[in-house]
Amino acid sequence: MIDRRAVHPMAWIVWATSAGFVAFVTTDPVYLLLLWAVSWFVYAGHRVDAEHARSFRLFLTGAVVAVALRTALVFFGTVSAANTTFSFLEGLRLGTILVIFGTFNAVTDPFGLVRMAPRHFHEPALAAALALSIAPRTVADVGRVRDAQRMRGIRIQGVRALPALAVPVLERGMEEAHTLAESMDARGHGAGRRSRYRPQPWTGAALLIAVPAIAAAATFLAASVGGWAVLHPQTSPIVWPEADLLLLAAIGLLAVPGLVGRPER
Amino acid sequence: MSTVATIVLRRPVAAAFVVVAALIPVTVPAVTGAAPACAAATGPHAALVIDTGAGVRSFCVALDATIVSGIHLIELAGAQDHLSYGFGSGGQAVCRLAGVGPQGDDCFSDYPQYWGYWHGDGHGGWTWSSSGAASARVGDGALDGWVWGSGDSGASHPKPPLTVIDDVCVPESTPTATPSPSRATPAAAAPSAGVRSSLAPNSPGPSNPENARAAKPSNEGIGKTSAPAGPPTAGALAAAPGPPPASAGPGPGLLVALVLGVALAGGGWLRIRTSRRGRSSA
Amino acid sequence: MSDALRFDGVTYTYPEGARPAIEDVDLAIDEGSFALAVGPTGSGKSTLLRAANGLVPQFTGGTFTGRVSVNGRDTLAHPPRRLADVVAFVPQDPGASFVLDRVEDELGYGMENLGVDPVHMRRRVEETLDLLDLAGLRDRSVRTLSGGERQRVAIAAALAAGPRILVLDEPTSQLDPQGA
Repeated sequence: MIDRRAVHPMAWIVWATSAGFVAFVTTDPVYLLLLWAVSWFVYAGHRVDAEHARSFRLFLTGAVVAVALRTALVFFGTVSAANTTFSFLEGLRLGTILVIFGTFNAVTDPFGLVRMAPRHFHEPALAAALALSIAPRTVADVGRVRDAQRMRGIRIQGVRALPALAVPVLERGMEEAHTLAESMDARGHGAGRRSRYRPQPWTGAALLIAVPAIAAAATFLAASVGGWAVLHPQTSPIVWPEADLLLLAAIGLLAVPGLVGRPER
Repeated sequence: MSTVATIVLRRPVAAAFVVVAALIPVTVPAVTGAAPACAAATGPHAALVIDTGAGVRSFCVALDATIVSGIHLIELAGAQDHLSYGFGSGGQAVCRLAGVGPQGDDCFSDYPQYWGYWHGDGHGGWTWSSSGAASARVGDGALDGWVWGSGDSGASHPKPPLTVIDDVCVPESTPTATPSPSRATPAAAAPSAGVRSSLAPNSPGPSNPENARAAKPSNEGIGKTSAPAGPPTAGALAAAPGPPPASAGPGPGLLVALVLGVALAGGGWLRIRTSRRGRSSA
Repeated sequence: MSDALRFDGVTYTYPEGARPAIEDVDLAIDEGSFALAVGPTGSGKSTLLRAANGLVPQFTGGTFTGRVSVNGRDTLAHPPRRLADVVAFVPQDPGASFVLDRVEDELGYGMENLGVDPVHMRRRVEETLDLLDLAGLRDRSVRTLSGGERQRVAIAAALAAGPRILVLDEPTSQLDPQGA
């Protein structure tokens, strides 16, 4: 009764960590922006359902906001083309990591991952999974709460509706998260004894996700240590960023999961 | 209402974990300003030229970040090539370089003499720095110059000798013959009598061998840091071909990257459309 | 023959509560019997049920006096997760308690936490699926189920773990998303 259709969650952890590492070691906008495209491509091929699609959009929006905010920070010092570019690149790196995480969150089931966490990490992993699950739930709940309000004759249009929505929606989200945490606890989560109902083997699909990702990260690591490619483009003076062909190929490797595709449910 | 906050507050470990996880995306970029320092002639480098009045020393300095301050450039030169230095005003100003200059915290205690700060303009000339060493931004391919002398502004303070960064940090693939034409070309019709006056405290002649010897520890085979032949051009050297500029136009890699990016974005969009259609028809 | 569930002089006040939610409760329920708690809203039914598996007070805080024992174990001496092999709890909104995505996996979850061996787990999952007529839904995502189906799955998940005591909070309520 082994489920050959699903992918071992560890494969995605390896993918996300590798992609995150690549974003970590470079500020080259070519590589970083490509990572956005890669994350989008992989998400498109593997997203689980509508709820997670919403959460990906949230992460994407968050990433864009992060870039804008970090770039705007330059106004706290001397403003020059070089400084602004530098600020922007730092923000872009941050945003890239957020988008990668958005893909990771959209293609995996966080609670499935929590079960795999080592015993002493069960509680923090659960807290993180709960925090993550609030966002998509929240978006879904907004619709329901608005319906409820409308049925009671409360009609507030536009932005002014937000305060009236915020409390019941957040409260509902918190309640749901609380109930879930409670029931996991009551069902013995984290008690230490463990077995697996349906062990997840490493399928070909999982390997195709994980192995190219490791190769990509290794390539960037080699570039970082060996210095044979520019990973941090010059900003003073500003120059055209470089795109090393080998490193581009490495980023292409991170897109392989999007090609592998998800088996139909 | 008892909430998830209950779990988090009652389990400080969980709370710490969630907070740290949230902070990581913010702190990571700050920490990774420090890219590994590179000992070879690849990776980010800047040049530092120190003219004490009695001699000139040049340093090719490997940068440990994309941008460093003028102060940090001196520190790096100290760490890599044993340049001695002393800072004042709480580490914000340069008092002493290569053994010349006042000790202590007041960098102007030998006034009217002090260390003048210049930035290389890329063609051999120099611009008087408009900011202090602590706030100056030095990046890959930049050139910083310090001259000990008197004169309250760029108009009166002595300049470092004519230098381009490729003299100090020799690029591996560039034929060393290339830099010479740029300085041999007499760009402006400056009267030869006035040629040396702006470099008066500098006495470039006797300092030449010293240049070569001083520059050697940083890089091999440079002897031509300040060729007495070329007149100082103060940046108007437009005619010369010069060494290959660091900023070439967009390369072929960018084109490949663009194609790849469009393919990924388009592919993703197609994927989503077909799966949505599949779902709605199911 | 010990009582499966026993309350001795139990009084409990919630952390923000002005007065006790339940006061001086004594009860003893034998193995194999069925008990029903009936009362108006706010009378403390949910509190009582949650005290049976230790969620009250270990999850909720507050002031607790008296003793609750399940199968001889004191609920104050064991965290709820260590009572999971004896007591199973199904909350009022089963949809909010699902941990995994597929029905079949959800049934196995409780046993995984108890370290039951895979062969035994599979057998119990099959039995429970048949018992609650869920075999046809085993591969479905719990998110796609109707309210009634979800309720059955939640009960099945609780039963599959093989507890001695099954606690159900308003198991016959229709799911009301507005909840108000």
